[in-house]
Amino acid sequence: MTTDRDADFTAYLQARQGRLLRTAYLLTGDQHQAEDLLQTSLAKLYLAWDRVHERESVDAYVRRIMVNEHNSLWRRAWRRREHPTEAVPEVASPPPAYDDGQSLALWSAVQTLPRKARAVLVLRYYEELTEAEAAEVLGISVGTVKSQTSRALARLRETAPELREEER
Amino acid sequence: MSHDSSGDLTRTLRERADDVTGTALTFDDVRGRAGQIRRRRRAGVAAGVALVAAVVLPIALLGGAGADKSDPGPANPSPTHAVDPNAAGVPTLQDDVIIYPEGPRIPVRLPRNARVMSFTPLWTDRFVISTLDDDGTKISLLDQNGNGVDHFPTTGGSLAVAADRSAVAWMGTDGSPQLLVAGSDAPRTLGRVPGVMPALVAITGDCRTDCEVVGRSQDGKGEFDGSWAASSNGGVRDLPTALPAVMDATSDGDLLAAITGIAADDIHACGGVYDVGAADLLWDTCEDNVFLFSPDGALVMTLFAEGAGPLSLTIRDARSGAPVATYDDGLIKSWAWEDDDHLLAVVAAADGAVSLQRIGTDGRSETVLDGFHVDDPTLDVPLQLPRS
Repeated sequence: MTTDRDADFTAYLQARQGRLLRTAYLLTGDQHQAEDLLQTSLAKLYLAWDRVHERESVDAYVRRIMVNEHNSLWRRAWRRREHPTEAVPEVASPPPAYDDGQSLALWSAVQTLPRKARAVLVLRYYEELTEAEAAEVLGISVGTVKSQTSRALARLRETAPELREEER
Repeated sequence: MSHDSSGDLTRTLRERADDVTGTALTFDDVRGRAGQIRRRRRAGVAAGVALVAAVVLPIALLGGAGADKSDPGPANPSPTHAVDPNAAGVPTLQDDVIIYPEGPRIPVRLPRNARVMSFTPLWTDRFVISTLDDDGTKISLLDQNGNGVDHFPTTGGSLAVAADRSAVAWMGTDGSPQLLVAGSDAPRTLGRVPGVMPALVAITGDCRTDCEVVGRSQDGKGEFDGSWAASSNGGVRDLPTALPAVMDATSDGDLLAAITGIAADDIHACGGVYDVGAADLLWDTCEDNVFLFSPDGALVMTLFAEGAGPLSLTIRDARSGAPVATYDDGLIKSWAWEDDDHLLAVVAAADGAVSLQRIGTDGRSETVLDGFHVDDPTLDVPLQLPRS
């Protein structure tokens, strides 16, 4: 039986899944993990749809689910003793058609960041959310967004010399 | 980082993400995963309750989550109770069991795959719940033992409740509010309301004689499109156009809380309290978008609910808007007034600990219930307050 609720959700799914997949990819750095993260996050959104869809920002809600779910997966992996590595991981997708090398180095550096730091950068510099919006998605204060962003950028400067050389 | 380097980061992230395409997810893909999550949650909730609330086990596991709910089962063997709502306190729903602080524990018998969206006592001897399952939302009238008396179709699943819990209303599927008054088993169909996706927010007056169900509608594009009041006598009147989205009303109908527009930052909403007698907005704020009057209408709780939920709430003087108390110690999942001076809130901490807090007008809070835990505090928690 198809309800109005399901029709509403399907319309949202069709309209937004492409964009959300790209955000999931930036959070995970891996195509397959991104697809799995997106499917789980959308499923949780579906379960909460009646509570959420009349509010102002479904996108903000599902972004928050994605970030939390990604961190949760990380915690579960940690409990299974699948320890993270500080080493730069292999590039999980081919570089874009034009790449002067700096982009690849910067992307690799982004992937060495802790997950929460990566999430802050993705929300601020890809989604281009304001600090207040990012704080709302992450469930943290604006001050914490500022400090986490600052620390993440400092870490990037350490691991991506090309970036540091550009600074004025 | 310099401005140029920030631009490099944005450009790099876009370059990496823009080439990403995946297999398109279908609705069935998502719904299938949702079913797995729902089953896992139920198992997890049952296990969590076993650890922290052993006293609830004999009832909860027989009739609550984790049990096969396809059959209604035998009649509830627990004693029959008529609950004085003023003496028994505000009940909570815990793992499909309605629990009064000083009274009985009443297991709610749900159909398979159904979960409770909202619930409320109806006077001293009934309960009304709205549930969601694979077929959509439904309203159920339960007796004092939690057994189903009757079921009604609805849209949206929201409930409006009289301050003294002597009447409950929900939206029927024909665009008319349904009003159920204490002592009756059959809801009364009120007049058809305008707009689409109507939501009921409050009941004013005494429904045993004459009352109104207050609500709002949308325009089909997701924009608020006006507020109205449907009388128990059958008429429907529009509320002032200055109030495109009414959010609550005092029980005497003298004050209305409403969203009046979108804030300049395009994130928050502006809203406030409207004096019906003076036909004037008493105050407004562009910080919050949820308003809930205390039972006597002297105070109003406000918060900004968006996405996974609010991180703070404010108790204000209803007529001046002046803050009386604030609370900001976790993700606030649900809320209800306990009495004229105390607000109850279900709060989830960042580590997943869930508790029931009592927040006073002096700004102090105390833990009423704790020992609950969830993996992800942004999602549903196993502790729910009634609609108030």
